[in-house]
Amino acid sequence: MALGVSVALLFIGVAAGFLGQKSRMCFIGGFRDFLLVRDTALLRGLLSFLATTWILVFILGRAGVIVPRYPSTIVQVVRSHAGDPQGPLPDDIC
Amino acid sequence: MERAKLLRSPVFFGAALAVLVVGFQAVFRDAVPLAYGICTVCHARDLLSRIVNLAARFPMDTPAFAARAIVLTPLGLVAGSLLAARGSGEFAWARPSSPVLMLAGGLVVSASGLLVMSCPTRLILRLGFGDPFALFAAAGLFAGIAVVTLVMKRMR
Repeated sequence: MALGVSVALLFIGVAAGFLGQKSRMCFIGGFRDFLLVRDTALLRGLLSFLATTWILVFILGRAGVIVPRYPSTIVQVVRSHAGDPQGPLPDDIC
Repeated sequence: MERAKLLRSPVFFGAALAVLVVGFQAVFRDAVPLAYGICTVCHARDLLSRIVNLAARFPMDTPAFAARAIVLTPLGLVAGSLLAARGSGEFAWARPSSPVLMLAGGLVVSASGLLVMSCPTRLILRLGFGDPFALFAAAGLFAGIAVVTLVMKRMR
């Protein structure tokens, strides 16, 4: 499982880097371009990422494949870590 | 749409990345935190703390799953974009206008990213996963971009 996670993350990184270079994608740049010169090319990339994630998570959530369990807030992390400073961090902190 | 044009489309980038990261989440749902498919700040932290733990045996806090898997996303990002730039002959060393400002900017981005537990990319991803906390962070992020953009506009 650990090897699978490593390889999958490496693949996601390579794919995102490759496509990102090709499309000049930048989420921050999308917002900046829109405010500065009303250019929506990069902003559309941001919205497509958000919308696709939303739809997929909705469908997979309905199907029970992904269980919506929100990542912790910084407050929750500090609280849980303060209880046992030597112990490992909770798995959902990142 | 022809293939080269599709590859250069930001909309395709967004959709493809979303499919990859949500697919990753579906496959490894029991092993990794929620909305973890891509992040520059926290993946770099997990990779770095793993390397430090392996090399120096200096105990650095690592999330439980990152102590088993090696989070290679940051290296993959660099490798993938290098591959694309080399492949199309666009690779070139760039001299930053202000190296000190860029270093300071990187420090601020990673430090503030670790505070809200995600880089801007993963913030959008967490928004897509319906994380209410990400909504506040994203509002702050976009407000920050708006302020700096307006300052840049005035300076010209």
